[in-house]
Amino acid sequence: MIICDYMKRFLKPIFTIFALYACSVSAQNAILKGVVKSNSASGISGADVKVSNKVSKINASVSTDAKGFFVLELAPGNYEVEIRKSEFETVSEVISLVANETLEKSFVLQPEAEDIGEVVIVGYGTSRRKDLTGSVSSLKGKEVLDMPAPSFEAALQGKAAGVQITMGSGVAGSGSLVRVRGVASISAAGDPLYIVDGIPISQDYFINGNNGGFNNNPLATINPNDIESIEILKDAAATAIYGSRGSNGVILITTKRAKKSGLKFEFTSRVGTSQPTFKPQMLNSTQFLQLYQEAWENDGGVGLAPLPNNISWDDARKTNTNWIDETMGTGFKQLYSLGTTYRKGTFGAYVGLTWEDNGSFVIGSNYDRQSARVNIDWEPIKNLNITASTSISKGVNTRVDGAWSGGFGAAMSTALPIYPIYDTSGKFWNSGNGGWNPVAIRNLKDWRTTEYRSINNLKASYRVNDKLSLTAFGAIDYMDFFEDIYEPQAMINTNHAGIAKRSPRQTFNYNYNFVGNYQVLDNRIHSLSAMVGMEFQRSNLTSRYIEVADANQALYKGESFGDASTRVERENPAEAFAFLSYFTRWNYKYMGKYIMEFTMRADGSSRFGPNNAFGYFPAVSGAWLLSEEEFMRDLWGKTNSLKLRASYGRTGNTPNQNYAWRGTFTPAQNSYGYNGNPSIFPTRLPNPDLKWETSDVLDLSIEGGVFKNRLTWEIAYYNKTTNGVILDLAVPRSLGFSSYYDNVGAVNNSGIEFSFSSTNIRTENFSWKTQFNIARNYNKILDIGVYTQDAVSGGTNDTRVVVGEPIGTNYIVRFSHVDKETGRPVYLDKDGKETLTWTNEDRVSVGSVLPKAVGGFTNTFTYKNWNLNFLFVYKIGGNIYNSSGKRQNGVVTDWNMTTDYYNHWRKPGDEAKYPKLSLQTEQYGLPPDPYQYNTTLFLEDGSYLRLRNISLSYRLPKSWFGKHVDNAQLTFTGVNLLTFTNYTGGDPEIARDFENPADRNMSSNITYLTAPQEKSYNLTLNLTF
Amino acid sequence: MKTYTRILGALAIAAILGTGSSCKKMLDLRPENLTLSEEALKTPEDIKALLNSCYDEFANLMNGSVQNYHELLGENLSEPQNSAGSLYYTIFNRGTFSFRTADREYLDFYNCILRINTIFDNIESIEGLSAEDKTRIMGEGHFLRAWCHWELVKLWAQPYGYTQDNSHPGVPIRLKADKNIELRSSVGDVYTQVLNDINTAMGMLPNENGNYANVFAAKALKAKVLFLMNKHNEVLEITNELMGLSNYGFSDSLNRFVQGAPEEIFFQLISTSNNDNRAGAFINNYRSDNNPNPALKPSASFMKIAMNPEDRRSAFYEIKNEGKSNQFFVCHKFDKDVFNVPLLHYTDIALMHAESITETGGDLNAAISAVDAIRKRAYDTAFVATNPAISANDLRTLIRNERQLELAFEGDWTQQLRRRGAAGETLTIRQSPWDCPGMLIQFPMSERTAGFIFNEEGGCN
Repeated sequence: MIICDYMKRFLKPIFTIFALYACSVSAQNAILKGVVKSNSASGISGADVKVSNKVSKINASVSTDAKGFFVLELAPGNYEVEIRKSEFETVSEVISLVANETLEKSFVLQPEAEDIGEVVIVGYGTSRRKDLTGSVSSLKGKEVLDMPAPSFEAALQGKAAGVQITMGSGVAGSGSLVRVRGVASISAAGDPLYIVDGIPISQDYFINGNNGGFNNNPLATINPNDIESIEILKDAAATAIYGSRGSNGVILITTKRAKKSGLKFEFTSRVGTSQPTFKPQMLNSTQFLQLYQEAWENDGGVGLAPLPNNISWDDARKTNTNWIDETMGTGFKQLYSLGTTYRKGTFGAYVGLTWEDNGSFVIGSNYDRQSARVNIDWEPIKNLNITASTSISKGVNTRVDGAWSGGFGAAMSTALPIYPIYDTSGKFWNSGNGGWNPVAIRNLKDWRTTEYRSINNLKASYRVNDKLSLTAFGAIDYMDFFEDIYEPQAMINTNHAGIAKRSPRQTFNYNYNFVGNYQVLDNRIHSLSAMVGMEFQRSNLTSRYIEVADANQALYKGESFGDASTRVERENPAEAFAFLSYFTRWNYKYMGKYIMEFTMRADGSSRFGPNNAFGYFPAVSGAWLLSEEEFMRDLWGKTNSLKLRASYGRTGNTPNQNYAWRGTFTPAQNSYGYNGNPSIFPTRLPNPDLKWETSDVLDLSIEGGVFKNRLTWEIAYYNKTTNGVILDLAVPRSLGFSSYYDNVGAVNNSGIEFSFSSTNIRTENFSWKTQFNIARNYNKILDIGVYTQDAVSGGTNDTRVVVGEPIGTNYIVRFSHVDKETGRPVYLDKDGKETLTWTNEDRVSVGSVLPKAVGGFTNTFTYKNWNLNFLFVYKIGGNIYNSSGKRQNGVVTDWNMTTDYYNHWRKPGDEAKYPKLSLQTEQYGLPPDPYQYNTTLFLEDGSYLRLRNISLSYRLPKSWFGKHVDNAQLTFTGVNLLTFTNYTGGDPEIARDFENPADRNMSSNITYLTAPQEKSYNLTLNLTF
Repeated sequence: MKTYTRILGALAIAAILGTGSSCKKMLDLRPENLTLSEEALKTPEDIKALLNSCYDEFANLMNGSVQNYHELLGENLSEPQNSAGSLYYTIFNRGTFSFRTADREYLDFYNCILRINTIFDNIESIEGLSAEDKTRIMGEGHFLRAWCHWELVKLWAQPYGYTQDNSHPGVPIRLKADKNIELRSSVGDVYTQVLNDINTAMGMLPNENGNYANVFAAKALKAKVLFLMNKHNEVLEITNELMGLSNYGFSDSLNRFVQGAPEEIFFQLISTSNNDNRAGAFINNYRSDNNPNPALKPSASFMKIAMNPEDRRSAFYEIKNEGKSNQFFVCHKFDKDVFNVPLLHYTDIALMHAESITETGGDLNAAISAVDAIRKRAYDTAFVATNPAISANDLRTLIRNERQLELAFEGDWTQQLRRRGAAGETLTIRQSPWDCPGMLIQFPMSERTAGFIFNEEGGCN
């Protein structure tokens, strides 16, 4: 009652103003004065109000003001009023207006209970979620921003069932590993296809190889602040429309557009810190010397052991460098973003500007992004809609070596605590590229990558009549990528000042499509719609390499060199690929409760020879809205939903290499030649029979909602068999070449997913929502043709393709125990018998690269102006192979060891985790070098539960700011604050550098001097005005 | 309105289907800066450039990379640092593991052979190629193919003479540029093929060929091959001829690793500039004037014979941290930015000549003359002529010592020890039998196909 009185008092003067305004308008018209309120009676600002009269075809729209009021002047008649506001259920009501009269009306919006009615983006169109026959997960832009990660895909983790995301490591600019329903490819890329506003973007993780122990993140320049929504298409019904590239799922990114009338600003500012989730516990100088000497004496050595790098014991004892602290610290982050929307009549514009600076805990590693975006919508003439988008961003990644290449990787390995940073003269000690002094290399080496990216599109849609609409679309995704490295004399062997290297690479990627939609039938019983279209995409990659052997500085700072003749520039072979596609989708609905859909895409690709250029990718799917049936309504209630879905279809994948089927020669201009004369030489042998990898996918699901859809849930099962798997085969090198691409073998993925979303409590001031998902994927190689398990390997890791095992199974020798009497490691041969000798022949498939389950759960509590949200992600089961463990805690070498190595055998009778220390590989029954001898001693359970994200926000009272500010919110966000795991090797969530796409598919459970993830604290201010 | 709609509809259909006719063209993309195989070899310039690429590939193997493996297996180097990714450490310790082997060099030798075989498979169809050029190109191809197979069999197989009939496994012989997998041929068959190729080359190569192989280079190579086969009479036939040539002889310089063309050289790899340096693996691994800790360092046993102050060659070596626990040695022979790599040179020919004389009961004075020319250059004012009354055995030892010093770190000495082992001499290399499994480089894992025999595992421990 108090609220009502307050409202009345409050509304009166406003209504008076409205009344005065009404007097000034045409005498024949009527006035509608309205207020839009929540069920807690507070006014809702920014709600879209649309009124329409279908007979007179009068339409009008307006947005509510800061207090929820609106006023419209209309001709007399009956109108349907529809009020929309995100996070509220849409209200629709018919009103009647009488000439010269004012109707005052109040509308109450209920908070949205579930999302079954929402519109989701699908390939080349939209669909109501209710009508979907395919498996699609959606995320709103706000959910993306809740996760303060520089790269948007990190925000998908734990949010969608069956989408497994390993967030990028703490190195600035690092990307995530995304797998939708397992991995179906081996040598071809296993990542989903990313489409930004209609264009499949360039997504080359290996544009820079794994230079410096780091893969490029092609998604890093996409600004998360610009994202309106993300859709993840999972099954064939949803992805077959993308045909040859849908096998590993499709992720659609839609950017923001102006929706509300008037001029609105949204300003976001965020500051934060970056720290490692885990600091490797390496030995200090005393400990190292003690264990090193122990190993020496165990081997029969007399006196003091000769130390690595010819360091004397006196010097070693005087030095104690903590290289971990020297390479890992606290990084700082800041972000400033201004988004502006403007809409007047049929014209709307969104302008977004963002600057973001991401410092990492890895000292010297930084990612700085500046981006701008303009999205325009315009209806210049009736029924013609034109949308245009343009974005430009610049990402500068300041690099340091990592992992196997040095930096923090060296701090975990070759940089020993007995090595000093500086010598007695104050210069860097041993600043060469050996990895012994990562601080010297970090300071001396000037290294950065710079990426400019612009994604643009223009779309014209014309609604010819009620049944036919036509759309023409064109887009350009342009990327300019530079890597600059400068190594001065102090770190390399040269008589010059230093060497500067620059690798510029440009990708010009464009597509265009024409789509026609036709509503063949639309009556109360039957609805049949058809879509046909064609699309062409082409991507060109050009690259160069510039090296100046006598340079004074990095080339990004300008060309400054001594001897100009030391400058060499060469053009690398340009590359291009193209897809020409025709597609159609037919959707039939009967009685609004039986839905059938058929899609078909014919895809032609330049990546195959003329015999196999085109592939055909059909899918058929159906949905049954059980809850629309009378008998279910009686049983189930009108407000609950239940839907069955099934689909079967085919999708594909292509090799990463653009010309894998062609035989080629490197021509003279691309080769140095010899003796000053030109050279040409064969670079690849032809394989004209290379063809698509095809996946046949079955998807079954049931979804529903109870308690007025306050609790919605979904269970899905899928089974995907991929045939003609593209393998980059390791052929006998005596052929004169090392590999070629061929279609060999088959892989099966199957799995089950469960998710639910529940509004547990919803009162006037307090609400509690829970979202939960869990998924299990089974992956099995069915066939690898005539090849052995060693024909394809995951980079340098012992992950293999073994029939009957998942892709990338660990293929290593089993470690049994440490012999109590001798301290020697005891292995198991392939028959399971104990042996003291490690041999190649005793490798077997061990452990489980696949977790038993992955998922996440989110809880959101809202109390008045407060909002608390936390997301846990988890992985149950699945092994991690700590590949660097065998060198840290194996035969003692010139690597540092971890403190865990103290748990080693010392005397007869000891029961220890690790064997007797030794500098000699033969003491461990190993061949001479200690690098590749993997055993299950370093294979561990990788289960974890992690508090990925916790955020607490407070909406500041409006009274603090006056009427010019619509919303002001302060949010504290913590990322990766808690991790529960039994894994001893470091961070259990591994996003390491990969050597190639096969390594990325096969070796995601391997860690090798990998950087831990980032723990960060962030404070965000969000202002809307 | 209807007409308007129809026009729009027609336009849309035209737009959708209009691309069909040019569909093939839109998808027929070719690598812009690469040439398609079917279009690559058309003109004489094309085939010459392909031959030049064979030299290029060969030069990138013999820039020290391959020689360093030979040295690591032998006794002239100390143990390299056991650092991450150090294949040198593995080779030194005579690892026989398929995943850590010299697979790059194995591949590149066969890639060089693939290029040569591509020449042979296509040369007949080249229009406008003169008969003279064709003969020369074929000759150079046979010369390089022989050398590639020989380098492979030296590293991946037991030496010639290891079995009486040389039926022990060698390496695959590849004579065609195709995808057929070949298994290992016997060492005897590989040597037969190598000699056949050299003989063919000798019949085709000109006397003068600039920086490329000429007939004398082929002969010098044949002498080296025969020497490793312990066929000393046949070696002498060639060395007699080569040492009688007027335009070849000893140079005054102690160091053949220079840029230029001293009269010593029968064949060398050409470095045209810093950016086209064919000595990289020597420089990067031995050089110590700008690197306090080079990867490859002479062994103490080698330094014992090398550090004779009267021998001017001792200036190539230095003791670092002398007397301290972290003492080590460095070799200065390759302390330069850029130089050519002599692969077939007069000193080697003279030493083979001298040693073959001692093996065949020939005129020892001729052998003394050859070795003393080398010793005089080394000792200069401290030179003392060899006693003409020296026995053949002692003279052979003297010649071998000179070889160890003269060709130090050029990838020669280990093969000489294995040759001598195969000839029946009882010797060990770093305390292990000369023919222990670890003296052979293991084949890469990729060779694991039906019927392919891998080298024995177990190293030399």
